Amino acid sequence: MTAASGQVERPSGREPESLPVLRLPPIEVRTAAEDVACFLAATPAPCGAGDFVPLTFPFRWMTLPEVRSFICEVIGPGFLPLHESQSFLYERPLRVDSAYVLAIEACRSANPPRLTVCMAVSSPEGEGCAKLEAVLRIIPAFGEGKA
Amino acid sequence: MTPAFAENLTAPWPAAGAEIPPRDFGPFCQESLIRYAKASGDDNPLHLDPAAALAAGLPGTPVHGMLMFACFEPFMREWRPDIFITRLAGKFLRPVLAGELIRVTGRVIRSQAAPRPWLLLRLMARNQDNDLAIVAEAAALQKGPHSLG
Repeated sequence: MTAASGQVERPSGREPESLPVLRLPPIEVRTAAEDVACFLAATPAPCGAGDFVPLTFPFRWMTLPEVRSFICEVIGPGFLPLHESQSFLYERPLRVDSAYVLAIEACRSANPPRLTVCMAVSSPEGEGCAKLEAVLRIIPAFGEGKA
Repeated sequence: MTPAFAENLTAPWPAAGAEIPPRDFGPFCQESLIRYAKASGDDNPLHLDPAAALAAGLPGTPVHGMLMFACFEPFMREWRPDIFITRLAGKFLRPVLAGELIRVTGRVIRSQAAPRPWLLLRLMARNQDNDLAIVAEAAALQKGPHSLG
């Protein structure tokens, strides 16, 4: 894990308890038309919405291998993340077949143990588009660890 | 321009207390969970493997929370095709199992008609037993000539 410049503003406005904030280096992504179409086919889409990026589409970037391994590393072995809450904050809609840059940071908190993952989505020019926040409750993996 | 969009361009801006007509989504069969896992990258075995779900104390595979969460956008946009959703936040309260459907309801909590029409909505998704699965809140602006949406 390495520190990236800039800090992700949290959509909820809440600050987790004061444990170190861990950051990933910026990640370049794309709203590829085939990925958007696949996502639309797997979710209930608005009728006649046309060519658009669904509001929850950026969640799929939370499952990118580098993000997933970052989350697993922060959580530690023997524990699993349980999705407790999710938020999306949009300044402008994302466009199909466009490039974006992700800034991701995570912070653990205790009592009960949680991981808050924040993601800021910007254009390559640095224009803010959206912010996501996922709050993950950290639970022992099946048959492993203790809470 | 769709007929619904054209209709809502002239429809009165909803007032606080207005209800969004309830809508059912699903049932979410196991195939739909597999499809969502592929599209979203969320391939947690809990959603895909009944044995993993059983080991976690669930009688069946739970529907991805984010698949249910994704129902709020069409729910709102089919009610008001003229809105740009600026914020959607929710808490996952209870799992919904594969094979079940959810009923989504919504209500306008706050409304502003000017200077720019704006809404704050309370949204809920309930399982077939009417238990609350997700409670959420959304903010939306009316699309307009200066709209970002």
